[in-house]
Amino acid sequence: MNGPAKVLRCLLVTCLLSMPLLLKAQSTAKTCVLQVNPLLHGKPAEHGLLIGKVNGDSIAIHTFQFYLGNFTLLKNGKTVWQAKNRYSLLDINDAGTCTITLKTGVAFDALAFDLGTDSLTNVSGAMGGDLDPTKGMYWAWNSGYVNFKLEGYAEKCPTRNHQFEFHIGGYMPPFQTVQPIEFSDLKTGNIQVDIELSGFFEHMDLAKTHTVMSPSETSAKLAQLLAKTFRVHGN
Amino acid sequence: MATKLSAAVLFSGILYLVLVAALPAFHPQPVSLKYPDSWPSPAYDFSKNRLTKEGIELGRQLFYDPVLSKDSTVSCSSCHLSYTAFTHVDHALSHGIADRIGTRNSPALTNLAWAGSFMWDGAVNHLDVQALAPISSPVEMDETIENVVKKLQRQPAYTTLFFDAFGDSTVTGEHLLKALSQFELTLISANAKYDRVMAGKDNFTEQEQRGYHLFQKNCARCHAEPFFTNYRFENNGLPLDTTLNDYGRGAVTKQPQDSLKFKVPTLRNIEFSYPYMHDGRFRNLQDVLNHYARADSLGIKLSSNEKVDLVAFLLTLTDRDFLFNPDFAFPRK
Repeated sequence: MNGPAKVLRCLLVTCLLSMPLLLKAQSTAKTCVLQVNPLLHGKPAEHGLLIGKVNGDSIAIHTFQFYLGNFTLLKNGKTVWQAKNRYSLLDINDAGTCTITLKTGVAFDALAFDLGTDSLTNVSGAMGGDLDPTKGMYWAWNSGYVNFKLEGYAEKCPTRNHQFEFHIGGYMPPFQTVQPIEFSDLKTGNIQVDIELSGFFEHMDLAKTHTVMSPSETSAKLAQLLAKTFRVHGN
Repeated sequence: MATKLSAAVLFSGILYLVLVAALPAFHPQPVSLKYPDSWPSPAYDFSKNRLTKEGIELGRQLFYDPVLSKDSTVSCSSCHLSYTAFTHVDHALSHGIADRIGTRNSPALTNLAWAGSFMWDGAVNHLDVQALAPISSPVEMDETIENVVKKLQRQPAYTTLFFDAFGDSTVTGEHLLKALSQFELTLISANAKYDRVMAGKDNFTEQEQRGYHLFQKNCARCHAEPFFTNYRFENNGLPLDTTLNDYGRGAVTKQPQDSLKFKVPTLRNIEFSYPYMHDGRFRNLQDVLNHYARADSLGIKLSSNEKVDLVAFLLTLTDRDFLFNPDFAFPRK
């Protein structure tokens, strides 16, 4: 056997020997997997649409994008792990975005996170990853993130093509829209979170509220409504 | 055996060197902002966007490149020309692509590292995200940041510049905006005659000195030294132009007390930044002083001699080192 081949063989053997160590490290890590399910009357989106009746009115949602972030894990009420300033953009038209894996390495019994971006994130200039302004979730003419976009059609909407369009954001008082959400008494790290959007539309009148595109009292109320639709199931 | 082993070591060594040489190197050169010791610390947080020679150079290329606009006709410099204090001289209202006219006079870009908000109404809260506004405005560049990123990604010259500046040849919105900030942060005007007098290196003429006193008494509350703005929003008594219906800060905060308030502009290089006010309604400084003399504006009554003295002082704010700095001009290759 010549020299270079020997060196290569040595490298290969070292890699193979260290494999079990790497695998072991992974299997002992405590991981939180958050599966987020946007639903309308319990049904997920089909062909990019959430369709159903709410308050007797047929609605179809074609766009639902939202930020979740500042993930925090707690044990007995105390913070044991935190991913400060990490945000994920979830999108019903991109199923992969609705699963969030947090590699934590700690035991926990509660999970807290924000629906939307906090005020510091909104005043910290250009950000990368899911917060990059190329994601279409940043207001150019009045700085700040759109915390969630919810768009579609409803018979009741007196608008062109019966469209409703909610771009909800705002970080300055009195119209802050970021919403803290917490789930406690968690038994496993695999957490199923349903967002039952019928709960959002049942509490509003689409004939009157259908187009909200800037921070206001209405946007702050709609952010609270959406936060209330988050539920954990099967945990 | 020993010969074979040393040949193998030599071969591996050469292979390593070839591989390392073939990999692009990322060694950006740090740059620190130069400004007078007497100035306060900048408001901009440089820890999130470290100034480098490569980042500034990329920002400069982008600033002068019409690729930022939808039809590649308008660059940042179209409305912010270096030789005229980075504003759009001679145009009351700035124009964008296809001769579309906007609703405001482009502001001068000077000493931006000390500014806490941007645009005449302060709607933009950070220098990094300011460029998003003109890029997306239908009457300015009428483009999207997503599409600008795609266009730049197709240009190898740019992917190289992005790598040199940020260690990543993939163009992102974040890096594009941070590079523009880096260039804009270097636009420091601190060597006007006024600055040299303050540093004890020059003297005002008697007329300029009289003008300086008048300035301190009547103007400095808003146009505070050394930036000649307090970076706040004020109502300076301009009547609403009903062809524009621009309520300024009030439209942003939706608070009645902010109606018709606009950002106090810097007076640095005012000799070159005409026309004046947010809508460019005054063509010269005499018109501005006449406006401020009106009882229904600020009621600053000055004799004609005093007006001449005050203007003589304002001309000491002209900084030729800033206006004709080759580092700020179009990047010729």
